[in-house]
Amino acid sequence: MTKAAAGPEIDVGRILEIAEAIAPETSVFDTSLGIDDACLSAEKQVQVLHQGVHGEDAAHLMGCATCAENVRNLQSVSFKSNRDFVGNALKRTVSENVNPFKEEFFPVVLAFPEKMMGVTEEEGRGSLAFTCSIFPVSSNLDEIDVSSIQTSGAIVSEGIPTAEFIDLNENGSIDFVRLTFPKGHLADRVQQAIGRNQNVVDTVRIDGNFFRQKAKKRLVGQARIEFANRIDLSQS
Amino acid sequence: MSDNTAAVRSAIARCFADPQNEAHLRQFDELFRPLVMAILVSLYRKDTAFVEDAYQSAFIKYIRIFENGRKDGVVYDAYFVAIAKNSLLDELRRKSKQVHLDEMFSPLSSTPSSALNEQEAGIAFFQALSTLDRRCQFLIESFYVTGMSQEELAKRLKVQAQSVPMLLSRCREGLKSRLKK
Repeated sequence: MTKAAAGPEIDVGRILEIAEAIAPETSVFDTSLGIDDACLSAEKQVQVLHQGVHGEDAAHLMGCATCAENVRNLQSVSFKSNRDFVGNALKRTVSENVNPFKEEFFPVVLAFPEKMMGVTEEEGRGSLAFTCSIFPVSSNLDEIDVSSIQTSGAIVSEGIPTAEFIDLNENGSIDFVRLTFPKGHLADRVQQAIGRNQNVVDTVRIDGNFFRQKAKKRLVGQARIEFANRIDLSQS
Repeated sequence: MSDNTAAVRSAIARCFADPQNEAHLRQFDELFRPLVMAILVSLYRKDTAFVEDAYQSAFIKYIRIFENGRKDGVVYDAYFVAIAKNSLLDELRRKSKQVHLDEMFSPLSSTPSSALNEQEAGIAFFQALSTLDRRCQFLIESFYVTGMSQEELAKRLKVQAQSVPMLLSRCREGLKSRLKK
């Protein structure tokens, strides 16, 4: 089914004159999309969904209802057009797009307090307690089965996390979930790098299930984190 | 300028050089789409289903613009974002959603010699809006497009609810003066 139409004709020449006369001074992708200049730009939001969020941006996201809402909404649209999109647009016929995440996955933004995590060799082997947050696309966050949530990749969690459901607006709907894992260990490759006193950037993945879903659906997310030997950090 | 903005601008330049080249259009789509989607979902927060159709409509217009050739002095990425935003309004109108923003277009179509049709007025409006400070953009877009209440706006901006009409009025005046330039 063709969903989009080209719409009424526009006088491109006239509009170009206006576009030339009224041009923003900075890139539209680098400017804030929230309530003020501190809010995340389009570029930052896309980056957050691809790479997770750390430090100042993570702190801002956890305190700003508008940015949290923007990121949550952005998670529900597909970043890739379907295969025939451009070809059909060239033929002035556009096919219906399908959100590849819609049926099976609930993507989440995985947030860590800092971009760099200092870890001792002993912690890395199995006593690493850590906290992270997730911003899920689903509005029914209370349906997340917290006991099923685990991390893998650079940090392999052990045990069930404790969850704190945060309502930024105090409007009765949960905006994000702060998770504290009592125990975990680093992947071998990360442990080895820490043992050699090398910093290493690696990916932490998170996944979990939902209660009461007819079809099996999983929440998924990931973030890039830099790991460093904490002793080196304290010495430097 | 960020690397992504530079990459989008390079992709736009390639599309102007060869508007029927599908590979160039694909590359432009891959780079531009995530960024413009972020902007569109921040413009209309109620239902993201509209943004896909809006982007599809806008993309057809981009191809026409590529075919018409490049004009010096135009910042095309900003212009394309204004087109996408206006396409979102079209989608809302098509689905019979109320678009209170229409009343803002009157200065653009009131003078017979320079009257713009609805499409042109909408694009010019968003182009001008992007030059205002962020707070004004948020106020006008949230109030007139998303339909956010004055109470909710006050809560988000951390101001008294009775200040919102005055802030909106100032932003409208700022916008009108840009549009009349």
